Amino acid sequence: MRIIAVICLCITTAGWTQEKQHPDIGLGVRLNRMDYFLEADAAFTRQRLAYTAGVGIGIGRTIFQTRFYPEVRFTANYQPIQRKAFAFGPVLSLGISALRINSQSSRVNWWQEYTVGYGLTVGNRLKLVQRTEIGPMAETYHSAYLNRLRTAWTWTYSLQIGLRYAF
Amino acid sequence: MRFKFWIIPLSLFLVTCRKHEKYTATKVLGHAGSGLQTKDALFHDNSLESIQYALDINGCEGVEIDVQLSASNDLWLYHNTRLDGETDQSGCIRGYTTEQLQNVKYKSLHREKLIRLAQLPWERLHQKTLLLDLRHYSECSSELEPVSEFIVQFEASPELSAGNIETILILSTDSWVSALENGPFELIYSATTYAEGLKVLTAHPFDGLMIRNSEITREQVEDLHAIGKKVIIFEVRSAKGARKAFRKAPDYLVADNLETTIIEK
Repeated sequence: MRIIAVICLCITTAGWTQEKQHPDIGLGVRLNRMDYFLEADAAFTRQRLAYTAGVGIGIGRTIFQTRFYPEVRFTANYQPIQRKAFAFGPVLSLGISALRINSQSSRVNWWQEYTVGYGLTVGNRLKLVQRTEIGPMAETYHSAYLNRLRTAWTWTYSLQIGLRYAF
Repeated sequence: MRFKFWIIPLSLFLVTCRKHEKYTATKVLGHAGSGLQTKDALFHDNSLESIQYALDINGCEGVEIDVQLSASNDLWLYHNTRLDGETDQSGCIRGYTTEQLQNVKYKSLHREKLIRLAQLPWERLHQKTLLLDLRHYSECSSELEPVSEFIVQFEASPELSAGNIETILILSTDSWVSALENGPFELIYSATTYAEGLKVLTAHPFDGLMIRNSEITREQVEDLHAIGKKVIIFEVRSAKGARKAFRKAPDYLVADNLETTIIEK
């Protein structure tokens, strides 16, 4: 699984330095099995590949439970179907989020998401972006009994909708 | 410029807000391990993995589990009345022997096995609370289970009464009270409504009440505390539900979403 993580990271960052251009800046909302996330991201497009790097916060945890729940997310979107104001294709994403569960402890739980799905972009300068993805998710937590880190796997989903502006 | 001005106070608001309410008197326990029939749960309820995961979480102070008698008269952890749907078998726990149940698995992602009471992670439970919800009725035989067999099984698990674990028995019948009241465990009545629970507490020597969050108010919890009875609140799934339950100040809160509930505490 670590190899998959490295591959995801390589794919999502490979094109960044190869072409100088202004990124698209976006804002969106994403739902996964943990929370709703408010996300801000920057997308770089090179031919048929769009790479996105973003940050976000879990709305439920951060706002309604006053516990800061940040995430970073990298996405590679291959767009074999590109029309004037329309792009569609498969998406590969890596997301990492962290949350401190117990205020009496400094330990943090980590979630890593490795998801695949489709990405849809509609619009020219102002674009509507929608992505739907599924994949495995690892929760890494500190065992209070064993006093060491443990990891448990499960499945997750990711439904994202947002707006992006092209400079 | 005006936008930048708002970024600083907004960020401070999001990051530095702190709740002033603390609910240290209420113990947080995992429902059927780390949550009963919860879509976000990592493991199936009442499985060894689910119990271990709950007890690993810093802030979880114990677990509630459901126990039923098998055909071999040993106690197995299982919530529903029938195995159909949840596992790869059908029928009731009562219809299977120990040997047969050892191979039964949940139809979940991790395909966890059913476990016996004797297989509980006793070391992990030290200094924690264990609620045993006793299933007194078998749907398949349509008969009341023999309480004597439960007592035999409790005696076969000396860890329960060794003093390292706070063990509490949950009953949804009053007919077993006379057989269990002189034992080493506290007895809690599982009530559907507050009125019904109060009626049973008045008539029988139960030590407290276990009831849904929606069925009891803060004043009723105070009334029960005033007569020396404990209160266990369950069916707590959301942050809002956990906050409401904590404000009622019960002795125990049985949570389906442990992480959300511990954050609220």
